[in-house]
This record gives sequence, structure tokens and C-alpha cells, in this order.
Amino acid sequence: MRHVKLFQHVALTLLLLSLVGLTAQAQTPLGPGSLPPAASEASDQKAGSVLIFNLYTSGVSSGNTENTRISITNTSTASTTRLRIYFVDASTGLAAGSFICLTPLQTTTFLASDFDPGITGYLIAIAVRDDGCPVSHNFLTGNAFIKLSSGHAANLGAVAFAALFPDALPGCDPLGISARIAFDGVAYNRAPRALALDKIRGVADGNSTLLVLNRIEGDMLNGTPAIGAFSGTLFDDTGAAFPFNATTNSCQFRTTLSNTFPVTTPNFSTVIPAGRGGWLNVFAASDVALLGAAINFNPNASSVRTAFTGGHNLDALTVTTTGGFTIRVFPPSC
Amino acid sequence: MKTVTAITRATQVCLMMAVSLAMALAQPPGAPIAASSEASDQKPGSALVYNLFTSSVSNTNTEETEISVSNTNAAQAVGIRFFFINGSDGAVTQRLVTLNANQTAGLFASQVAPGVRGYVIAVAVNQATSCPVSFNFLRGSAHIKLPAGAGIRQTKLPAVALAALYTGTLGGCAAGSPSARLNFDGASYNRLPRVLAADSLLSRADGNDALLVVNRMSGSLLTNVTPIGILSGIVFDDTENPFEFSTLRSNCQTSASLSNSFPRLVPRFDNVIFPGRSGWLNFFATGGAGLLGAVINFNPNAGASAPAFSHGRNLHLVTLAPNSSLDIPVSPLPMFSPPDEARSSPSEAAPLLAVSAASFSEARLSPEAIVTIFAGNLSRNAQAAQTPLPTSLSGFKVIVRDNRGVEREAPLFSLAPEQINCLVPAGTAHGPAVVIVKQGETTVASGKAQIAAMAPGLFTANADGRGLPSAMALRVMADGKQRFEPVARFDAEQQRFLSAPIDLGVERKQAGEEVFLVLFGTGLRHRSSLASVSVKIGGLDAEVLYAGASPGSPGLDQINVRVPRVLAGRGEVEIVCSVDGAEANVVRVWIR
Repeated sequence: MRHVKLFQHVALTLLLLSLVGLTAQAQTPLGPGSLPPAASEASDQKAGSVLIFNLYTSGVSSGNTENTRISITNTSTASTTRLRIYFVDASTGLAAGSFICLTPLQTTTFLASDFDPGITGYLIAIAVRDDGCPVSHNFLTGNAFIKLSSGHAANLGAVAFAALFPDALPGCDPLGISARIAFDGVAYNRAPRALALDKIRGVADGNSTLLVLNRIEGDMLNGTPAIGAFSGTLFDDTGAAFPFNATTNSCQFRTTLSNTFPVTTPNFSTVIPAGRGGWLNVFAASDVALLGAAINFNPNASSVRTAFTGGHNLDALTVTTTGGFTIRVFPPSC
Repeated sequence: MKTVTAITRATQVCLMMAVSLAMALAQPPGAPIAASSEASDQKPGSALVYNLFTSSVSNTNTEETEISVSNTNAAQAVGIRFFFINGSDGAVTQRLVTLNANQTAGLFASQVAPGVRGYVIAVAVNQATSCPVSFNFLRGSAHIKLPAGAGIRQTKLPAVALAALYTGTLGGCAAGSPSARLNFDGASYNRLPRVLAADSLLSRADGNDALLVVNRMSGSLLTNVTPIGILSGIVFDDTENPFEFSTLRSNCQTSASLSNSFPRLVPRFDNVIFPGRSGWLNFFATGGAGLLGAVINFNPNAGASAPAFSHGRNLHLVTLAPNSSLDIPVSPLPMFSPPDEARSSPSEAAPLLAVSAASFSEARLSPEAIVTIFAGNLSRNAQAAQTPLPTSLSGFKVIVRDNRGVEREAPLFSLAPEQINCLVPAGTAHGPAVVIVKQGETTVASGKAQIAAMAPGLFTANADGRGLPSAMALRVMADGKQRFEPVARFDAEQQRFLSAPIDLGVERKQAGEEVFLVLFGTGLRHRSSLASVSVKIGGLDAEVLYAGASPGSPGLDQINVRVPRVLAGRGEVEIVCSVDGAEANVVRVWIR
């Protein structure tokens, strides 16, 4: 009899737990319309389970002129989410991890100078379950306000990758050491293979265009590999093509466009002279996933009609299934 | 042996050419992005939406937009039809641009729709038929700057791309079709957002001024685009407390700073987003329209304070509308060559744009009309002239070379860094003309103009060629006494003129009052006869009492009309004016 009561109590508890679970999963829509399909390619305008912020930085001595404000919002009306946040140091490729928890509809914002002062790199936020396994939670959006002491400034949306699986990442072992976040079009959306910067202005007009490229591949335990050799084509405003090649031994490539990069024949200033424009595409020599951004700074933006300042993430021209990150699996602290 | 060598060389040349061609046509490696992937500002498409453009008539150094578009296809050229939509009244200005393979182009808003704020839709079209085509290779962005208090709000917004999901030409459109319908239904083109979200809303008490831009993406571009209607949404603070709002937006574009008056929250915005804190919002149009938008923050302390930042981004899409549609005209358009991208050596004169100072139309100018010339880097300082008008200001002259090759110096009203206001010289022959700006003996800018006998334009209160006219209502009492009344009042908060109603109410009628409207314009003084002047107010013929030069002001013309009493209570009405068959820009007044 006692066993029966105990069994009934356990069954009742399980039933209550499952009801709580069901309630937690039921999403009250934020408004009319249908949710975007998860299969829609990675974008900084949609919500996802993994967010990648293409650039964060803060000054060593002062965050007043060089800093980043990261914002992340949980647009789910029902589910709390736990986020593993990785700050990837561009100079070493090594990551430092942290946790953030967001209740339904909660938003949070923090300064890079408060979390990772003096470091420049890119940031990854991954939705995980309470046991540390990556989880499907396609409700995360984010953006980064960025300013550099060089004068470059922009507000870059976080590129969102939707999970294509329900619940927890298949094959993730909570007792294991690591799990693979694969941007393969099966587990998560694919990542860009070739990128494009659609408007480039000449250096002779006072423009300084900061190009940022990130390799979307790596291991958060051992470090992210370098981009290595990469190529591209610079086009002038008549469509004439000027190919270029370069190599970097960092997971993040940052440089301002000039005669030094991209190296073209004739040189950059000749291809895009004063008063003229162009665009470029870029891709790694090997089949590597890339993300990136470009931020233009023109000190004459307030006094010359054709001078502007601002930036945005690079456009994806093609995609690949090779990108992804390996993360450590352990329970979050919240 | 000689023949064999020649063949070998020819083969090598052909091979090299083939290799070169293959290299030129090569697309970058990787798998193509699925066209069915939803609308995004990170992918290419066949239609692009630029969420904001703006330019100033008086100072493009601080308020200007460069709309850029690139054809990322390595082999094919394409026509692109641009629709610049005035966010205030929904009026549409069109441009047609052709891009060769891998070509990029830029259009400055001041050269297409000066003094207008709105949004741009660009559609890939067949160059012969003007029908929309599937060409998912277009990318674009808008560099934007506009005043914000004592500073300048700046950002670069990528264009949101909508891929075509059909192949070839859009079904139902053929040569000679007057219009085509773009269905954003997930079958013809990608769907549009239904609910949008803006995150990272920061406190105004910390110096932040976030400009929220929302655009209606459905309706017709053949007429003025219909307003957004009611926006309903929720602002969340950073502890998830919801604050609901509903706001009526009577324009097709809303661009307003988040504040205690917009959106109306209970309690107000400043009591929801406190200093050092943040929030986010989402919203949708209750009428069902597809929406797009952006948010641009400005903080004057961004250069000196760690938590202060500026710049902006497009809004996130939360849900999608099942179907939205947009009708676009497909009638032929002349090709537009963006002056900024013109292939010219640095020693050649810079391009200029000469438009009616009243309507801002570049279609036709007439002798003795007031015109505005836009060009770059004219003068460091602004200077205004007094009557009699000089033909030189700070060494700058404007010369009009007419169809007969006769050059005349234009009387000048004013000179600014990128603008000259002047008169088309009297006696300028009709037909094509060349407008030349000289500094001393050096030609600094030149461009073309079409001179016609009649080019009527009506000045407008907000100096944008649309909306409220620069006009006065003249009320004549029963006892013969007269009183001038404004038809516009300046709103300090919106920094623009709004309607001041003309009262034709019952009490006015019983009092035996009559109301006349005095419209100010230019380019109509050489009318053939008074009978050739037609003015319709609210669709009704209005008696024209005078049309000609306004005494004492060079180039300024006026039209005096009697306002039909039956218009009482009609609200906002259009004024359509025609002189010798040439139509002026349409303006609007409010009648009580």
C-alpha cells in the first residue's frame, strides 16, 4: 500500500513537472504573423539560438573613446534561456567564457570594458540547457554599439544562427566534455563562405574603411584557428575586376583599406580614386566559414556633403557547411 | 610550317581569352544562398528596400544620403528602377539605372529628391520592357546623416533584400503593361515582416536620442503610398515589465525620436527606461501592412563617455506577414546617370542639377523663373544678394547657354557651399540649354536644362515642393474689410509647417464672407492668357482672378483664386494648377 502511494506520488509529481514543462514551451505570439522558418539563412535581422557579434573592443586605459556595448534580448514569451558567452581574443584565438541567464522577454546590456577590458575580438552567445548542452531557442537577438579611438563607430546587429533541431543538440552528452555547434544546415544554419562589401569610397576623399573578417570555426577549449590565405576581387564602379590575395595568421583579420590591403594592380587608390566608388568580395582559400563587418570613418562627415561615417555587417554571397565551434559542456551557474 | 604556327598562336590566343573570360565570369566559391531564405539585409535579392533617405535643401553637408547599389552578378547587366517615396505624403519620384556585371553606383538623395525624407525601393527590371525580373544579385546600402540637436546623427544601413522566387520575368507583366504587382507572399518574392523589434533602447536621461523609422511596405506606387495607420506594440524594460502602446501614424513613414510623447506609454518613456538601464520594443500595424524599419541612436557624449554610443541598424523581424503586395508602374523611364559616378577626368567640371526653386522639378525651366542649382564645393560661405540682383557673388557666376548658342549671365539671389539660387535669364531661347557655374574664369560645374515657355511651380511651406503651399488666404468681409490669414503654422516640435485650416464654415457663409487664396510660384508669368490658367481645389474648378508676376519681387509669380464655398468641411484637399497645359506641383490645404 505504501509502495502504491509512493508510486502515485511520484506519478503525480512527474505529471505536474510535465505540465510545467508544457506550459514553459507554449509560446504566446508577440503579435500577428508567422514565425520565420528556422531554415532561413543566418542573418542579423532574425532571431536564433547562436549569436555572433563580429567585433568587440575596449581601450586599455580608457573605455571612453574605445568601447563596445553588447545587448542581448530573449524574445521568447515563455522560456528562460541560459547563454554561454565566449569572448574570443583576436590576438591569440583563445576564448574566455561566461554565463548569462535571461528570463522570458528580458534584455540585458553590458560594456566590453566591464567584462574583457583591453581586448579586441569577436563574441559568441550560445543558448544552452540547464545541463550545459546546446539547446534550440530561436528567440535570441542582439547588437553591438562599437566605437574605436580611431573614430570608427557603428551599431552592428548580431548575426543569428537558428537551431534546426528540437530541444537539446542531438548527441550532446551532459557528462561529456564538449559539444559541436555545427553550422552545417543540419544542426544550425550554414555560415557564409564568400562575403561582400557593397560600397567602398576612396582614401583620397578622406575615407578610412575598417574591414573585419572572422573565421567561424574553432575550439573554445584549445583556440580558434587562423583564417590563413584568402582571396577576393575589388571592382571599380564600372565593374572592372582587380583580384587580390592575402594571408593572416589570426582568427580575426582587421585592417583599413589602402594600398597596403587589398594589394591590387594598379593599387587601391588608383582603382578607386577621389569621388568614385567600388565594391569587393572576399573568401578564404580553403573551404572556411567567414563573417565580417566594415566600418567607414570620414573626419569630414560633418562638413562635406559626400562624406559619411558608419558601418554594417558584410553581406553573404555564398554559404558553406564547414563552419562551427566546439564548446565545453558543463552546467551553467544560473 | 608557318600556317601551323599561326594556328597554334590563334589557338593560344583563343585559350587565353577563354581563360580570361572564365576568370571574369567566375562567381566566388561556396553554395548559393537559397532564394527562399527570408528577407534580410545580409543577402542579395531582386528588390531592395532602403529604410531611410533624407537630404536638406539648404545644407547637404549635414543632411544627405548616398544610396548605393551593386550588381554582384559576374556576367549579366540589369536595369534597376528606383522609387524614392516621400515619407510625409507618399509621393513617388522614380529613377532608372542600368548596372553592368559587377558594377556599382551611387545616387545622392539631394540629386533625386532634394529636401525630402522617406524610403527607397529598388526593383530589378528588364531594360526593354521595364517589367520586374528575377535577378537575385543586387546588394545595397544607404549612408545617412541628418541633424540631431547640435550634432549630426549618422549611420550606414544596409538595404533589406527580397529575393524573387520565380524565374525570368514576373508573370502577368509584358511590354506596354502600365503596372506590375510585386507579391511578397513567399511564392513570388520573400515575405515581409509583420512584427518588428528594436532592442537596446537606452535612456534619454543618459543623453540618448533614438530615432525610430517605420515604413509601410504595401500599397501602390502609382499613386501616393497610403499611410501606416495604427501601430500597436509593447515596450519592455530590462525586468520584462510590459508597457503597451497604440499610435496613429498618418504617413507612410514614421521617423520620430523615442520620447515621452512617442510612443505614449503609461507611465511615460523616461519612467520606463531609467538612466543606466535598457529595454526593447516590438510593434505591428493593426491594418495588416507589411513593415520595415530602422533605429538610429545619437548620443552627443559618444566621444567622451564610455557607455555613450551612436549609430543605428535595421529592425529585427519577429514574425512574417503571409502576403503583402506592392503595385509599381512599369511605364518607360529615361535612363538616369548618377552624376557622382560619371566617368570624367578630375580636370573636367563637376556636374550640377538645375531645378525649379518652387517645385524642385528638373523637367523644365522657363525664362525669368527662379531656379536652384545644386553643385559641390561652390563656396565656403553663404551670401545673399539684394535687388537689383547682381550677376556675380563672391566671384561666382551662372551662365545659361541657350539652344541658339547665346550665353547670358543669370541674376543671382544667393550663394551657398553647394547651392545657388538665381533667375533663368530673360530671353533664353526654348529648347536644350547648358547651365555653367564659373568662379572667375574657371568653370567649376556644368549641366543640362530644358527651357520651355511654361514651367509652373508653386512654392511650398516646407520647401520640399509638396504639401502645404506658400500661400495666404484673403478673407473679405461683408463690409468690404480684408484680412490675410496663414494656411500653415510652424510646429516647433516637428520643426516643420503644419496646416492652418481655412474656415469656410456655416457662420462664415452667413456672415457673407468670401475667401480667396493667393498662391506664390514661379515659371508662369509668360502665360498666353488668363483663360489658359486652370486651378482645381478639391477637384472643383476655382475662379482664377489673376496669374502673373508678383509685383516687386524678381521671378516671383502669384495666382489669386476664389475658394469655392461648397468646399466647407472637406478637410485636406489638393490644389491642382495648370498653365497653358503645363502642370505645377500639387499642393494641399485644409478646409474647415
